[in-house]
Amino acid sequence: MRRSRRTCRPTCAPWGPLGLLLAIALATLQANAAVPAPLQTFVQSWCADCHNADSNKGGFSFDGLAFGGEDPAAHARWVRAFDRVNAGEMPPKGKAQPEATAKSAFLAALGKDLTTQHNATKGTVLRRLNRAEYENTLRDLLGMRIEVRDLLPADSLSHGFDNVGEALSMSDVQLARYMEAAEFALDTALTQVTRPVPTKVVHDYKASAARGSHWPIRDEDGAVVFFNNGIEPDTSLKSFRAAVEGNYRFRITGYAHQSKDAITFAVHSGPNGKIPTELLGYYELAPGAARSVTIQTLLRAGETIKISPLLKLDLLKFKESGGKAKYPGPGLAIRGVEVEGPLYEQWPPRAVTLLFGDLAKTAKEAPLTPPSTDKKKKAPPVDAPRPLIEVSSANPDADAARLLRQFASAAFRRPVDDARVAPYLALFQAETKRGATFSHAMRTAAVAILCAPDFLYLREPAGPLDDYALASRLSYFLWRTMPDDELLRLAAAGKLREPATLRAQTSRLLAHANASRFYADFTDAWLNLREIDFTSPDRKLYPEFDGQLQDAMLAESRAFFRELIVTNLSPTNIVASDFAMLNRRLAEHYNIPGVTGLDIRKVPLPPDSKRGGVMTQAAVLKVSANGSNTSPVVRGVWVLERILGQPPQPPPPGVPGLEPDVRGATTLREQLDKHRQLASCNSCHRAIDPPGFALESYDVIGGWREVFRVYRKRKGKIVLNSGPPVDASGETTDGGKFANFADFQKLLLTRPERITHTIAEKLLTFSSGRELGFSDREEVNRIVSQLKTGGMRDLVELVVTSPIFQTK
Amino acid sequence: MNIISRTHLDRRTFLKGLGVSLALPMLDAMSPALARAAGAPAAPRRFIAFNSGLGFHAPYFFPTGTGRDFKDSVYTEVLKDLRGDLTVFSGLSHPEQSGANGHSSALTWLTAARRPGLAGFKNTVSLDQLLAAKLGPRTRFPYLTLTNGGESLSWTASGVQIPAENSPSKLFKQLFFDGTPEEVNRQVADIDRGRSILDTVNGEARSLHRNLGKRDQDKLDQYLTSVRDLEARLVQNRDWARKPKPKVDTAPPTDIANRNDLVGRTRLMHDLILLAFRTDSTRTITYGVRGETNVPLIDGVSNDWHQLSHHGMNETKIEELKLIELAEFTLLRDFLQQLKSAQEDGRPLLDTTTVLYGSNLGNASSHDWTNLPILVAGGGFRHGQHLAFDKKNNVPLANLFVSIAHRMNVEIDAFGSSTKPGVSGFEIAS
Repeated sequence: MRRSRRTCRPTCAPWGPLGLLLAIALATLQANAAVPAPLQTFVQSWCADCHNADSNKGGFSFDGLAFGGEDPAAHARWVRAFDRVNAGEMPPKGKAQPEATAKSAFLAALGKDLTTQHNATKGTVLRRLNRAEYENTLRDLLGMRIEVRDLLPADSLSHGFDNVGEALSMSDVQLARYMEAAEFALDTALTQVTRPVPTKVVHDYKASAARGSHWPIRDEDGAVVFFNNGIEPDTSLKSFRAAVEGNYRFRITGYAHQSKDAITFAVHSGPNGKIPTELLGYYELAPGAARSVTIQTLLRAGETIKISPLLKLDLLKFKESGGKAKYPGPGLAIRGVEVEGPLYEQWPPRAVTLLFGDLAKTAKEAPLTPPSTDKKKKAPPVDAPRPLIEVSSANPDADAARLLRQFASAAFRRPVDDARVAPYLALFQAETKRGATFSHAMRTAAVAILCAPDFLYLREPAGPLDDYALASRLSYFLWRTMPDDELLRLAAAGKLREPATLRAQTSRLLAHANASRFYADFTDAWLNLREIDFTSPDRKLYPEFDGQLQDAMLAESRAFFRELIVTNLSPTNIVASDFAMLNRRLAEHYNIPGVTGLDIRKVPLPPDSKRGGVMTQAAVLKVSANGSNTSPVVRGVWVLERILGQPPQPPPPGVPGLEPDVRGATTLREQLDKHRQLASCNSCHRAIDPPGFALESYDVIGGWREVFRVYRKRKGKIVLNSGPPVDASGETTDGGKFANFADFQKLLLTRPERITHTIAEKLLTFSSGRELGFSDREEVNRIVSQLKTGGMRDLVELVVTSPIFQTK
Repeated sequence: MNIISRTHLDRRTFLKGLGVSLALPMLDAMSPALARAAGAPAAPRRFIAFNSGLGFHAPYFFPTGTGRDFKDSVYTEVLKDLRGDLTVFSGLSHPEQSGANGHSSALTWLTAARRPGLAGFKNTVSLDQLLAAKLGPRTRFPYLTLTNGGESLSWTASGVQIPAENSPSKLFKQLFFDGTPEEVNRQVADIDRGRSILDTVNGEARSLHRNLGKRDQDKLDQYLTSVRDLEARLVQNRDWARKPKPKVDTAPPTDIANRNDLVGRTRLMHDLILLAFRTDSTRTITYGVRGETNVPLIDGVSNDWHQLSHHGMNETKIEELKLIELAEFTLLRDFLQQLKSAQEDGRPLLDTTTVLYGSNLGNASSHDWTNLPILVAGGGFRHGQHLAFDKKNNVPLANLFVSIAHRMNVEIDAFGSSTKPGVSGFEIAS
């Protein structure tokens, strides 16, 4: 039943001609039978003139909009209606307005209904472990650093978070991969009985240097000097290859040669014989006496490392200087690399203990080749599967029952009884009947346990979480893995839910190295840093950019979030802080003097600094740009979503995106100014554009700019040129004017509760694995008001003691 | 000291006995054993979709003029010898593709799900997966999902992205290497063991199901469906395991490690796609091409692809971008010509193979997802035209998907956001 198109005139009377009103009311009542009459009346009087199927202002129509059903999209629309009316944005300025009492009655009634509706459907749905959680869990369960993440399909995101139960799906493809991953993990974990004996050997590059490369051997101390970046000739440590998978410790001893500054180098790992490409980190060695850098890393059989100085050989000078020994440029002198390994934290691996207990074990172990310096000796094949451990059991059924129960309890993160183990024991028995050995049959049963819903999903009972579910939630929140023995012990004793215990455990978990996973995973999701690799900046425009800077950017933002929690700083630091987390490379990028070295550390900022807060961090500024130019729209949306917690609606259908034009005729800002003059665009863009304008002073890699960088073709050659000046001024929706980003920060700081609210919501979503909704608002508001002047660590405590965290 | 954690693994071919493995001799030239006798079912129909995630510069892609008299664009000029074998579309797109970021519409190019990546988003089945499911397990591989290193285009019915293979040498192995009898026996034993494992977890999940609330039950239903689907898959794999794989006289390819060698890498994959179709190893393939931040090894190109796609109207950049996109079209031309010269039952393989080629971005420079560059070649449609629809109010791309499904003898009335079962003017050649 459609009405003819009517436009909403500013003068249109609230009650209209009686007949028309009745007709409209009748029409919509039929369409929306579920909408309670008082709401219906309000909507008819104040909203439906513009928001009907025909006019569909702003892409929003009440016609046929379901109410109270299970459709989350319809629920979201009513929430939007509530918010717009509540904020006084609807009916719009200049239109007739409802009386205050009518409005508050409408909001109260709608709010009550929406709370009831949301309450009925909320709760964390049976949540599958995501890729990272699955890998961490498998590693901790089996006590092996198994890498299976990349084998699993990518997880779907919800609001940037990849651990929201609703968004995590399952399919046969996914299940097949889980099965393979479990088989692979157990094959890796159950092969070795004898602990491999570690060796300690010093390697150097003399043999390679002797073969006439660019590397001189210094007479003074026998050090080999690298002048180049390690690509040509290749600086891989070719005389070493790992004999077996395990941890290896490398002590690289050397110094900066012919350089007054320390020389930075990257260390990569990878198969010996190929160019190692996996970055382990950046390190540096100073001039003067030789010093050592120690690196410990997991290597697979056949792998080695490579040292790549961040240096460039001046070829011309090299030729002129008459030989490598006389070249005057800076170099990295390496005296030796001591390699120790394989090292194991625990032996035998936890998997062996869990599955085979103290039963006698034998294995057909291939003899381990010690790390060899002999090039002619054949390397152990990297991919050769090793045979499974054999186990002898006098009473296989009883042993299997006992051990499977032990394994399942560990895997399911809660004690299981014999009844729960029965199906897996039956599988074990069927396999032995088919001729499988004890260990093979146990392995098959273990694969089944690792493919069971109780392992793959975080199962939580309805209502308040039980002790074990709480232990898992806490552990997956702060460590991103299964609960450890201490948490499980407290859960078993029923003590974990005591607020004091919960707070103490929160502190313990945050202080542990595993918390770095929380700092990284949360920061990356919250600030969208997963897209850090998405674009590479235009080399002509941003020659100063390189991989090392990008790695430092990422480290900065994660370290900043960590710092807020560890030192319990106010959430307002998210918007403005008097410190930054920097190393030399970043400090140079930000033009902050006096920072040396590669380690990220806390650096105080002067009051007039252009930095401070997450929005000035290069990683954030990079992910909100496209490598060539910045869009105030993209950055504005970023700020609204991630700092202000007010994600804008997507553009209505049929609205083309703005096309960036760097030729200089029109700036994006000018285009946006036009854009905002259109009423339909203005309703969202008046909120979106200003934060983006404020950030215009930062370029695509987060450098400060007064003018846009452009390059032009001149006489067939490309020249870098200064573009138009940056205008970072604007006006917020509530009329706050700002001339630059510093002003904008001040405006945001006048509403600190807004910042706390956003970060609280993000932490609650990440920790509980569900999107918050209408009925959670009261609790979030309570947390925000309770925090008052508290810090981020206090906020984490408020989160874990909140009913949102402690209820399914 | 900052150690960056390691996140890779590739020590073993996955799905060794589970997901993948295949069959059947070469068509025509080398397959007397499988030649379709008179009265046998009609020649199989095949489908391949190529998505170039960084778009095509629209002024160089879209022809001028419409219908059969269109004038070639810079890019369609490359395909001029195949004019009668293809149709260029303009004015097609999926509705509501504003998503989590400017490239989110890549997630939904073959699914048409709305609002990709935004809160509450769940992807839906991709066209190739729907076709593969409806066509049933007639080939060793119900489908292949490939990429040059980027994302997969294929999504299961439950909205899970199916990982894509990017190594030609591994793909070749899967397609054409028979294991030793011992290995085959082990594979069959592994499959049987896998089925026992599935039996066990299936029973567990069922008993768990009873104690859950409605929403948890829905999630667990997805798990139970996965178990059933995988079980069916294992049964099929078991049947195929003992059948010899097709023999080809092509040397196994060597992977090109240099990610910048876009042309070389794509050509290798194209060759394997042809082999897969010619040996009837599969009938549906998707191939995702994502340039990302590589600088393709093409004369005159010095900037990375993604960055060039954000040319901001800068002429120098557009010219560089053109070189990359021309290389893509040259690759497409060669691929189509090979499909055309390959014969099956005395007619070109191209006639039974629908090739969907295009992008999820209409204008990559502004991340605009409307008016997508789309072309369809082969498949036995009446080609040789530019079908132009309203550039502002686009026709749903899913309408075209319905046409394609029909061409594959998969009778569906609608797909995703389709409004009509087909695209007007795009018909089957009589």
